[in-house]
Amino acid sequence: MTIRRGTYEASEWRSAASDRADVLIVGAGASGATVAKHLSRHGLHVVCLEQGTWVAPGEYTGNRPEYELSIFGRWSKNPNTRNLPEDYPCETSQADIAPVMYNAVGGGTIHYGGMWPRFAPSDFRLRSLHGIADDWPITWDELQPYYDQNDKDFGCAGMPGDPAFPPMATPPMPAHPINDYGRKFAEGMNKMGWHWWPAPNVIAAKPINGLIPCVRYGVCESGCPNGSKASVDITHWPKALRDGATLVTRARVREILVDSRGLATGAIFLDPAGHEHRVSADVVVVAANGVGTARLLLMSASTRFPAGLANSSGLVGRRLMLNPTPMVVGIYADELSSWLGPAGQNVHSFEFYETDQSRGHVLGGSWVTMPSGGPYASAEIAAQSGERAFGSRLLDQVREVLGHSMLLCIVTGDLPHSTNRVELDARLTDSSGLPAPRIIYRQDSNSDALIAFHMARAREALFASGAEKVVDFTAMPDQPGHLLGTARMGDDPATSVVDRFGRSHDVPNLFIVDGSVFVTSGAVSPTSTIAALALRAADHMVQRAVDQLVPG
Amino acid sequence: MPTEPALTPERAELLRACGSLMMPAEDGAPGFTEVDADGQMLAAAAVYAGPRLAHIAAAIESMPGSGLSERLDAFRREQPALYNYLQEILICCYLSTSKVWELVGYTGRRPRPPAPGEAEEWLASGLLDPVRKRGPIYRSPAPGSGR
Repeated sequence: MTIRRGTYEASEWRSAASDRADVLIVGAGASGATVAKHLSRHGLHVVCLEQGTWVAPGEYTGNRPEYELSIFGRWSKNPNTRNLPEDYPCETSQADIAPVMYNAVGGGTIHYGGMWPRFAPSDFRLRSLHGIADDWPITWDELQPYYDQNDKDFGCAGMPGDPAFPPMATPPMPAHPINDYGRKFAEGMNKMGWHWWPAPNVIAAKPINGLIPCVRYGVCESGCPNGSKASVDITHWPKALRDGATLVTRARVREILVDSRGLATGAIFLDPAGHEHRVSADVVVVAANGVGTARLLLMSASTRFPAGLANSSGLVGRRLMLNPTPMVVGIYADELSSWLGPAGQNVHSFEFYETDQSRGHVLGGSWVTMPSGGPYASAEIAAQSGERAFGSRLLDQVREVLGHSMLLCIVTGDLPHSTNRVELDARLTDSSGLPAPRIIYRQDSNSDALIAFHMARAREALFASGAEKVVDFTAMPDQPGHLLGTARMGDDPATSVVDRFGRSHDVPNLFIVDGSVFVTSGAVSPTSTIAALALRAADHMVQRAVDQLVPG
Repeated sequence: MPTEPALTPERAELLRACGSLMMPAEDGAPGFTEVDADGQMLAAAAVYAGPRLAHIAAAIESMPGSGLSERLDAFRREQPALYNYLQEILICCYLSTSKVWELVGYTGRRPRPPAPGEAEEWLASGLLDPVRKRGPIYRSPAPGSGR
């Protein structure tokens, strides 16, 4: 075996024709890192290909004056705005919501808020409970041990006893302070008689997993300059690398290869200069999330799999769910220091999470309070409720909002429609000339009604908490990065892409471990569930390694 | 193959002048060039926005008109999305300067680690009691049970 361990760029890749890794992983984000860490710990040689590169906390701008400016380009969540060579563009002319993502070691965890809610038990049983969509082939109870383990592996700060969930293990760290604005919101929720709870975040409240305790910059979603947020480049990859993993950066996978028996044999990837490389492996794991995974499987069409790899069901790329996320902003007379983090969530509510069909719609939503940002974010909030101002009026608007406001973000459930999908675009390509994904997503009338209901209730809550004014955003800017459902799991190969452990029905040594496998969307930030599913899949791979069919 | 336009000092100056037109000193509020006197914030914007600002400056240069004000008006009519992008990034430059922070009472992002006991303090006076008293609200997966 000549494959070098450790992390290096694709142009340095060398391997002999006879080299074969135990497991090839595509994507170094939350799910890929979770699998890599677990398998490496169990002695398997993992090679991970990541099209992005490492990002050092010192590169983040959150504690510099130009922070808000940096979001206009380099640190935007939208790959079409960021336009880095390692990004792939998304064709979104037929998308009501443009997906956001990040391509780097850490993937979406570079840009997420570290929000760490679990799905509710009912999320796995919507068909049985309400006749909606489909049940998952697994239950909340089956996932529970993996949720618990990930709370430790990522470093969750939370308060036990939340009545929105069944009893669960105590997180390894206490919840962060809810701050002045969180208390204000909680008082309003108590007046309404509605549920709220200090919210869980994978943001360090003490030194843990290589993370440094949070100092509340409140910029989590643009990368934590203090190294406090559990992005997996900090929490997982160093451990996987110590255990012998290989992580190749700036490696863009073009195709997953198969043999004459229909088993995956590895992948072809391109380095930044366009040179082609090949890596062979016994097992291939795709961890590129709901857009990237569907794109790669469709790009991997072959004579044997003409509709795309693992796509005999025709469902690869279909049933895309994005969790439409509206937001209301409360503006208060009191000074609340509401730029203080984490951001992150400080209070959440599951009062209207469960389906109640008497409301005229199905599914529900979760609410989270967040800090409202700096001067430019304040000006944006003011402009949303009126005209863009200049001069002294602009400064007055900023004074009114800055430190006096809070965001109440509403993550809503999303029905899986086969018409909402990821395809390959015929014209648009990435910097390697590979087809870009075309996103076709129409927000349905159920979402419209669900959003209207939740925004009305959220306004009531904010006014009850003393807000003088509430500003509506029917869609939160640059949100969400929830890319779900495009390779769903299930027991029936005719109606699902992977089985209950993420193994492809069509290709028995191909696993999918990211948000693609979701059967329904839930109505929370999905990363803790993605990571729990990934850990469960990795555990299964270890347990069943002796039975695993591999290429000859 | 076309080359990317560069943000030359002349084009940077043009964008700065656009900032002045959009945000002149008025009603006691300082103008754009006053708050970003050394051009550092605009330079930072150029770094983070990549080639976009150079494209915009080149497009404004190519607009018809006898002066910058007329060319900027023409740019707004012909390229409203890019005009809006320019306007927002210039407003963001303006609001990111220390002079404006002083005027709006913003100290910037500084480390504010929680004090010992602070998390408990915000929950004092039984804030969570009504939530606990109400009990579980999740729906059991078994039909007919739970909430």
